[in-house]
Amino acid sequence: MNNLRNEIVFFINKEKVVVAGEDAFLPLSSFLRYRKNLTGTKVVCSEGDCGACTVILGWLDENRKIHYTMVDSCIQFVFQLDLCHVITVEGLNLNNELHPVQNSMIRHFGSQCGFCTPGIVMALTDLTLKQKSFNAPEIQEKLTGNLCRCTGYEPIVKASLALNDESMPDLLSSLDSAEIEKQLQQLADSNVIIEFTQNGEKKTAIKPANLADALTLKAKYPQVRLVAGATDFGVQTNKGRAKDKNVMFIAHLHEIGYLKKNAEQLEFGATANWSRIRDFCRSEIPQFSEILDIFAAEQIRNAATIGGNIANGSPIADSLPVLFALNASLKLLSESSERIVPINSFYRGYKQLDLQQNEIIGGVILPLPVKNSVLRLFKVSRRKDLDISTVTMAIYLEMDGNKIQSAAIAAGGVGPVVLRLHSVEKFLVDRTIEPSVFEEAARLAAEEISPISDVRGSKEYRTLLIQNLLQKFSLEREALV
Amino acid sequence: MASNGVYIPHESAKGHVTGQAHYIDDLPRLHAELYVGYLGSPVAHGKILSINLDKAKKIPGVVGIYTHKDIQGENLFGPIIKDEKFLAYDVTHFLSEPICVIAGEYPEAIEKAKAAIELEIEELEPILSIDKAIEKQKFIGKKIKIERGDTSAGFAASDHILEGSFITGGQEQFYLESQIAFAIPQEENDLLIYSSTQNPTEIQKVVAEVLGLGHHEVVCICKRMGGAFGGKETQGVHVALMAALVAQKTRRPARCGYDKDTDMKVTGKRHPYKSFYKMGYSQDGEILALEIDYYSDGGCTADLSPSVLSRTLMHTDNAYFLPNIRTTGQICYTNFPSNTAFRGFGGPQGVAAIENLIEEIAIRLGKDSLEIRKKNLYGPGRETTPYGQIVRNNILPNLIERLVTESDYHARLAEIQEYNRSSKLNLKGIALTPVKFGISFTTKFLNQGNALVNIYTDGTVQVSSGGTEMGQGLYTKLRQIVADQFAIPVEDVKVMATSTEKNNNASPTAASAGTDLNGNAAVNACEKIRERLAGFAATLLADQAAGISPEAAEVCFDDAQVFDRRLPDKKISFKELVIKAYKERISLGERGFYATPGIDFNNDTGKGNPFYYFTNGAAVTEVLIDRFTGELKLEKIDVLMDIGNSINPGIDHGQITGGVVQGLGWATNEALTYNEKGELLSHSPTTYKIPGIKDIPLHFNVNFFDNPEHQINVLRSKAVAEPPLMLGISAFCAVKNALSSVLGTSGANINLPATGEEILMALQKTGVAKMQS
Repeated sequence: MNNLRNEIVFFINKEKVVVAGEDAFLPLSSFLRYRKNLTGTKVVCSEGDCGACTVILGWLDENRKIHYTMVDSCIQFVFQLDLCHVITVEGLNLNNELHPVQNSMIRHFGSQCGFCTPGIVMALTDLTLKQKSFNAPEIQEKLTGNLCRCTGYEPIVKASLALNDESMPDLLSSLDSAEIEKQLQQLADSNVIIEFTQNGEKKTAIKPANLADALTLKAKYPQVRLVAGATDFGVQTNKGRAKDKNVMFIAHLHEIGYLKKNAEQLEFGATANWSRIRDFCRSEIPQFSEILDIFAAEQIRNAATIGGNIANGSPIADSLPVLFALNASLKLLSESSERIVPINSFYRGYKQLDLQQNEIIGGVILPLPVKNSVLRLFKVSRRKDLDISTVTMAIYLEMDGNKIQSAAIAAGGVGPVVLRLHSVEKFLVDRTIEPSVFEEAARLAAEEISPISDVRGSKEYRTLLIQNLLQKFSLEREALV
Repeated sequence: MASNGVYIPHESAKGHVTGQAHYIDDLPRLHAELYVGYLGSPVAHGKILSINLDKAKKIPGVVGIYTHKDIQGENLFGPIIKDEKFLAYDVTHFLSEPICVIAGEYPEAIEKAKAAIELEIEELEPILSIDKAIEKQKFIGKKIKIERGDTSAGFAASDHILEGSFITGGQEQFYLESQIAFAIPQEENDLLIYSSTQNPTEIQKVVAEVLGLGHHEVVCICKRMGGAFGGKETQGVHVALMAALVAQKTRRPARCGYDKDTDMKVTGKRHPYKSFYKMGYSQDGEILALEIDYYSDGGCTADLSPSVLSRTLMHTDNAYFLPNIRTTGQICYTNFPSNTAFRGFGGPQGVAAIENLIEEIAIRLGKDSLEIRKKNLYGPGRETTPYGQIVRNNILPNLIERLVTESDYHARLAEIQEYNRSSKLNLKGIALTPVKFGISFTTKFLNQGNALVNIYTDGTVQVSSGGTEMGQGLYTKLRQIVADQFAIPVEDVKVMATSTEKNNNASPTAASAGTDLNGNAAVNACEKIRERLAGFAATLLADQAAGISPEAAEVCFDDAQVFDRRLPDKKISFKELVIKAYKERISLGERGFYATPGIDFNNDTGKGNPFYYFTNGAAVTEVLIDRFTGELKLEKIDVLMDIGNSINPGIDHGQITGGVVQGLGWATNEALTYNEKGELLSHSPTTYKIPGIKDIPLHFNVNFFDNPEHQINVLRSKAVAEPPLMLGISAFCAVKNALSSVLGTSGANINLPATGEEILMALQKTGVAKMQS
């Protein structure tokens, strides 16, 4: 085991911050507002669905170089921030001059009530850190995670486009990023354990130095809840539905943050976040990247990990149907062993996993579609972007000429877990992709699913969607030939 | 240089973009400040049998728990009808209705206290729908009516009669800053309250009356709101009362704010409506008779529902002359939080009702809906509304023509029809809908405003009014108006926080009338000061030798200088004039007042002249629908608005884009879902989907329509905040247009909002969704 530290060390703008005790469990947004009086960061929803609390977060990669991405600070907890550099809206004006993003927002009437504005300013500032120029769709993409109720967005798009003509100041230098990187590097390689007692309750937050120590600590503290991006944990905690007293943060574990490919398969380490996976899949499985394009928004994709998504086990997780249809497997790690489990048998019921208490999801192996195959992924939600799906579906057909040789069809949102539609799969074998076949497939599908009515749609609507998606698929194929 | 008509940035824009503009939760915590929470009714409708606070009071950190017994004034308030209790004690009328207010040293103590309060309540059968309220005949207030002509004769003369019902859903305001108030005890019994409210006077009044204080013992201040949209016209009062009660009892500062989920669950929204209609129309699409009975879901108290409903009836005509019409309205009592103001204030429900029917006429006659709309517009000899007001300066026919041309409507319609014939996967639709929105509060006495203008001895100016800033740009426009009155730079004018101490008995900042009422009042104040200054300047600028005697009427204020028109070379700066005037003991402060002229309405007869003028506009929206999922995509939006002279085109443009998008949200995607207990399930942005940036097409054109004949109101401007919202209905009509291409002439009977589910189910009913090639 590596050496031990009992405090979280990170930077906010240019200030070094050391936290021990109960503040480690605060959401970053609360820490900023109520401990540091940095009230420029606003909180609206506390669930990562509005972007008002957007900050830029710098973190060390496996080469200990600092990278900056934007995240929602309401669902980042202080215990996740060890060795990080947080840039808030206040950090843009330490020299008392406005940033060009701010000037452009002022000039183009990009703010009305002003409450979403700091979050939008931070998202756009992050964009200027990543790209020299950008078009309107790229701006829309960047701001998908930021809700504004006043402007109708059009003035914000204008303000953003106008930035193409501006030269940008070196924000990172002005915040001494290189010096901060150096200071953070010197602190790496420690296990951090924060323990304290509050109202008679003991709370523990652990940040292991590396994977080996993580597995050792997981064996030693089997009751800890693993937290990676915290994009669901944060929501559950903020809304009072989760009251975990013991957490272990693992998203920084680079050993399981890999992305690998060979001719047959892709491998994702469990702590790989969705932004990285989306880019990585673009050439091999573009359909998956397209689903990830409408998976939450960038702030969430920068934090949320594939391992977290799988462990969370939601039947409406956008990522799961493709993993089911392509027969992905999971690598489960413990201190003493490693085992491989097919994802199709990993879920035993609603949020019931085949995962031992001492185990960690280490990675995902995703077989690539074979040469003569068709893969089509669907997500239907009330709003196209930044919404949780009503229904998801993956259709994977291996073809022998015109004939379907084998079929794998997975559907989400129509049962307690993602379902494989076995009777439909069986029916399709040796048949061709044509409307009459898929009309019958749709009829069979309706018998195989058990949707419920909830806030995202009625039972009838979901049933109809599953049927229609199958038929839409066949019509689309027909349109192609 | 006048600032009128200039793109001057929002006066708080710098504060917005740097995060330094303060909202109430940003104010630093004060010494000994308390947290405030409450325990609400666990059922939508129940009878309280007992409340036991003993255990809860003993929890460490709990400072006080208060019930109705602790209220020193009257436990009853309401803006129109006094029917709302602050703290329930006998019967509760909605889920989470406040029963006990809890003060704590820290938030956890409040959570523990809530769990420890022993509340015994007997569940009563709630009314959770308009249908149920109608069945049980549970209504709030009386039935209202607007009618003219003879509908029976109209029906008899009609070629076609259409009867049916139509539902428009509720809508959450979704201001980003949730309800919040901060009460700070002052000397004696006085209370200072910072409130995020469109109506500081109402907060002052209700807090004083419930707490047993004089109005003069309560001061309410609002610097800005993080959005409001009507949702803070009355709904800010609950958190203000809770904070104030704790401050009164403990003499400690107390802040009370809702989190987003609580806010959405317990505050009022746009009223859902169900209407029953009977319409008669000719073969060429002219509406000859119309009867609509509206039922609004008022929630459990009156709140603003009567005024909202009357505006619905007044906007059923929208832009159309309806010769024979009878509209009635009834507010349903339901066990939901009382529904309230939301941008448009009943107007959208009326406009949606008529536009839905116009679209139906077009579909059923197989005609272009634009043709039907044009046929029914107000025009020569057809310019009187059903309530008797004459539509003057009726520019809509010209405005529509220009929009038709600029949006290339006819060519696009033809392309869409062709597309729908060939596309197996998608459908397209297009619609142009107009809006004619009446400006003024329909309650006459609210149409007044006052403003205070103070000039300091360095020539800078502070102005304050009863109008509040929620992002709409009132403060920016006031700044411009006042700067131009003295011909000084806008930088020399500051608009101060709205406070009941400076501006008494103010109306809510609502009805789009903020600039009209407060801007006119500010002009009135400035004119009085300017008159004094001009009189004094005349003596300074006169030149007896040159035969120029002092003449106030000849004094000019221009470019921060003052001169006599007859001696333009002899100038003194405004600043110099001000300090000289001060030394001559001339008053440099003034209060201005304004009352909108010529408006009145008789609620009993349903007749009158309720509006000072109308704001007009139209929009063309094109939509794309996935035939298999019902998913909707907005493809193009073109908007043209008549807003008179725009005092600040940047601000007004943003009011239009923002208003249209809110209307699009209401018309297409924002759906409120409740469970069988009356609990709101869509209570946060995860489940309640307002438009996001990708929902807005990049083809989103907004233009102003020049209207030189509009000669009234401050700087010949027009109110702009609400009217564009109703243009979102164009998307709903475009959906109907798209559906009609497969549903044929049997109509496209969908309700609003046109969610993916609503659309798919409509397609499914006809088997179209499963249609094969």
